[in-house]
Amino acid sequence: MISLEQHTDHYFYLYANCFVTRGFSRSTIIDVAHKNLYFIDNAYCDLISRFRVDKIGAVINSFEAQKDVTYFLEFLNFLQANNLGTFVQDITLFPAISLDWDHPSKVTNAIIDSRNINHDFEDILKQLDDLGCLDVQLRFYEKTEISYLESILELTAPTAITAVQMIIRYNALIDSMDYHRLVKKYPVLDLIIVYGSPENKFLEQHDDVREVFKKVLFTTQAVDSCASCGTINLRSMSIPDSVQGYAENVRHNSCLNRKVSVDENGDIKNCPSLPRSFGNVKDTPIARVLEDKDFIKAWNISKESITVCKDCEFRNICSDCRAYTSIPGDILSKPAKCTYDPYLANFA
Amino acid sequence: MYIDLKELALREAAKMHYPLFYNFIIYNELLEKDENYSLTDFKKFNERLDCDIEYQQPSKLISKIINFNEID
Amino acid sequence: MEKSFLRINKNERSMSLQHIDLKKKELVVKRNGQTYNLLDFNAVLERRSGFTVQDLVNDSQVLEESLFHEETSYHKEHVLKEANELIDFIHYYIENTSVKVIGKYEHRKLNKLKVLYLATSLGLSVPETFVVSTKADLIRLTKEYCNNIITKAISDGVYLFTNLHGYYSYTERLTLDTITSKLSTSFFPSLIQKEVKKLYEVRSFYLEGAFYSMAIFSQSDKATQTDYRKQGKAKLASRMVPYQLPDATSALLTKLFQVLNLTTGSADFMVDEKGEHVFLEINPVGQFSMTSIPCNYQIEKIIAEKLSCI
Ligand code: SF4
Ligand code: SF4
Repeated sequence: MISLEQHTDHYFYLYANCFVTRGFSRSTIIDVAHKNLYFIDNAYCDLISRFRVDKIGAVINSFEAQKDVTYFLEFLNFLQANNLGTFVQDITLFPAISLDWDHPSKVTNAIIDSRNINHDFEDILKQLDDLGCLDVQLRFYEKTEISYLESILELTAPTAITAVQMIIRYNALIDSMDYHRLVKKYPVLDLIIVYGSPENKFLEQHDDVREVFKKVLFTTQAVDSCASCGTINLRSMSIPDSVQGYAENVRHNSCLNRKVSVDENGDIKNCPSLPRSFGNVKDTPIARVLEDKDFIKAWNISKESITVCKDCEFRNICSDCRAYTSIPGDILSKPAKCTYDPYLANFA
Repeated sequence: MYIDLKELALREAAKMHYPLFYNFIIYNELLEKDENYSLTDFKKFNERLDCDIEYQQPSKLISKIINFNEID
Repeated sequence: MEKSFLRINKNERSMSLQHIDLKKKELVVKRNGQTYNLLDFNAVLERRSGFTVQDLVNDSQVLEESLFHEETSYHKEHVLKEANELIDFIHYYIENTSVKVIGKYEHRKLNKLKVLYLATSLGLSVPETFVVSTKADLIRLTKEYCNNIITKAISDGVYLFTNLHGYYSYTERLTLDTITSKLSTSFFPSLIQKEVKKLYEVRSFYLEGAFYSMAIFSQSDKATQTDYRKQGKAKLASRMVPYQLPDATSALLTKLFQVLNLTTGSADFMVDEKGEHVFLEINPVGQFSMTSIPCNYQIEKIIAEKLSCI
């Protein structure tokens, strides 16, 4: 238990990588270093903002009722017990973390959708690699053969792509162990999700040396097209691994930033579900699309500019969706598939 | 992952010839390669960047076509 | 901002020196079938060593065979000396013909004791430092500093990986108990310092006049108290957050970097309960990413901009 007398001349320093987000009905503290999330009352959110200005003694003196002092002490205990902050003599030595975000790659992630057509994957992956793309998700709406998936994975060998994810339709003729073998053979293959499966199943391989999880997931969920995308719930939120990841979420669009997509017709888009095509990959270089201001615009729609979301305490870890919005045609309205109501603080 | 660190024992007679911190060297056995994975599997040399790159999980959700709520 | 670059990694066996021509200003290397005149590059960032003996000697195994009668190692040492002289010149030549240089080859190694001496003479506070070689002296120091002394390497600690094992040495606290039970009466002259009771550690990356500092709080876990790198059993990662050096410390540290002729490097401090910043050492080839990433300083971008803005 903290004794307040001992610290009246100190400041309480909430570590700079613990970020407070004020929502309409409550606030969150996101501890990026330890990947934890805490809910706090908005009154405490106001209190935290005083920590940078007032010493503990001054904060205590401003309380009128003794019970406020008790609550304050409890709150400090909570912060310290969870290692979210510490007492310091000079708060000016502990500046805030900059949330500026940048990345050396012109494109960091991509979605490629396929249905019955054979994209020129060699060309597309080469283009993505030239743009510095790290993560690629391939979504197939028809049954695919293992050998076909393998031929695509082979194409990543000369690239610097660091993760490929494949989302494929269940095929009763393929033994589940075949997917497993694929994951083992290609370390670049981060995840296979097989939808439309008879059961939910989870094959997991754990590598102790690098603490890497390799996953093959089977889900009964039905997927027919990109229209299934845009799910938002607690499971689609994640606390980033780094301050950079958090900063990107705050400053940029958490789904579309530095993303390019090729839809099932070969159209280059921000995401396959968005209507606007910026040219077909057959005749338009992806690099040229990136020069289009309209294409880049979506990258910078941050949550602060989205109605409802701007009042939500999850906004800085929520992954957003700009394709399916609650007011169709209004790109700045709340994601249609989100059931969270920040004014009531519950999921519908 | 838990690493078992052991202390390296110096021979009594050797101690006087070493700096003090040699009395406190710790070591661990490096894990043997898993038959399915080897360390080198997780990186490869890339010509364009002129260096090794490591395979990594994506830093964020690329799309939300799968509802993870329905899986577990 | 897109520039072509060449990365010369240590032990990149495929690289070989073709020739140097002082008159034509050529320093030509061959790598992966391509030849490059390294003097054509106008900016260079140096971290640790670029060229190594392996890049010059095709088959270093040959040097293991003896050559002279009755003498087994002279030739080897002699050729290595010749190689190092040349490597020294290669770096010097590249640095002198480049427009922009960050980090110099000659600065890749600093003498910790020299730096401590300089730091004190400039007015920085440093831990009380001794080099002793007898148990009697150690016991005297333990008593004088109430069991709060530590030992560490004067140069580098042990950091070795064999095929089967990894070996490491860290900063160690010496208690009267360990001294009497574990150590010999006399030993190789060793560095002893009074332990600083730290509230937190500070790592300051210096780049051309600016500091990018980070505070490291590791006190909450006993295992990391003496040396925060020892996180083997620690549950929570240390808290690494942006830090602003007090003006007085920052002014003295800038002086120290200037006196040492360094344009970049990483300085370590311990901050004690009184708020005193105790200077420990400068690592001239400091890893900036370990400061840059947790504090989001984007130092890699700043360096890239400095290298390309010429
Ligand atoms: S309201 Fe907006 S920010 Fe909040 S959870 Fe829903 S989509 Fe995310
Ligand atoms: S914007 Fe929506 S539909 Fe498009 S990829 Fe993101 S989540 Fe999916």
